[in-house]
Amino acid sequence: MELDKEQVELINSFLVKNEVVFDDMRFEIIDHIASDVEENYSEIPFHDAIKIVLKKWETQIQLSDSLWVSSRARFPKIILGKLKQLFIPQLITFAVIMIVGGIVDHNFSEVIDFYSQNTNAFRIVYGIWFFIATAFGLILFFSKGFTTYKYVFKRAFYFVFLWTVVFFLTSRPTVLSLTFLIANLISSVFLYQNYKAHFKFIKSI
Amino acid sequence: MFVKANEINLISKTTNMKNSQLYKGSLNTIIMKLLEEKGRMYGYEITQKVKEITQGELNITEGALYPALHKLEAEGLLDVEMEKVDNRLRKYYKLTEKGTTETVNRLAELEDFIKNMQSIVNPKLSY
Repeated sequence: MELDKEQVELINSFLVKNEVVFDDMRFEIIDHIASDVEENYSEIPFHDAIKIVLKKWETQIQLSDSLWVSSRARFPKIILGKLKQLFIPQLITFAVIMIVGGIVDHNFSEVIDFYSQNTNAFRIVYGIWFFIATAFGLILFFSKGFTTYKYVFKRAFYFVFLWTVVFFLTSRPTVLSLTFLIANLISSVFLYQNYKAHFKFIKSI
Repeated sequence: MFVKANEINLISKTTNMKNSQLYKGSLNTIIMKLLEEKGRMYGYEITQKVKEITQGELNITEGALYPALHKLEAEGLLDVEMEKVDNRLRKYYKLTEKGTTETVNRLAELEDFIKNMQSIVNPKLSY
């Protein structure tokens, strides 16, 4: 028994109502649920079959939270797992850079001297980088579709923006502001990975 | 080669195999082996194939399968293709070039592991 458009839409509505809003995850889950109904419960009415299948997904759809992802927002468990997978490497990289920056700050005064003498050059390079990152961000924000990659990019970009403001407002150059700058530049790798993954997905549908 | 046990939730159907830590550790290798054989597969198909091969002994749950697939995809070992099938979109997974090489390594490692376990658990059979 092949599910018709209305039945597929019913599964879709159920998932959206339960916060499975990311397209890259939702389409996959819809297909899994629909395949299960078609293959195992074709002998019983659709409404009974769907109840049995959705019961199997109960735990995965339950809302959970994690400080790795957000201090306020809650997500279905299966989505939270993917978001954590995308966030954790970024946060760890950021933390490592901050720790190294702290160590440098305490031990290598020549780094501060070099940075003080070349502050303007650093600001120009960083300004150009931030302009490019913002352009990528705007393209992504206004693109169609909502994926886990888009969400992670957005969240990471908020921090990039915040540290950029701090960086340009700091009148006296410190190693801490330099560390934020480096952390932001390195975050380009993650930003670009998410940007690429979002558009790869959008292109494939 | 082995993923952390708390990341996945692989459940065995039979009661005497409930403590299936060994299976949990091999989930990624199982997925990669199936993809190596079939070329490309979608999530539900993988769960059914494992059930079929093991005659219902192993049941990969959704909570185990998708985190494993997404992790392998993030590591660049799997690539995805979307296709419209029966009024919905289907996501197919296939091995990348890096994934194909990695599958060979992981299978060799798994075979070694099985051989060593055999030697310890049942020394007579290993010769």
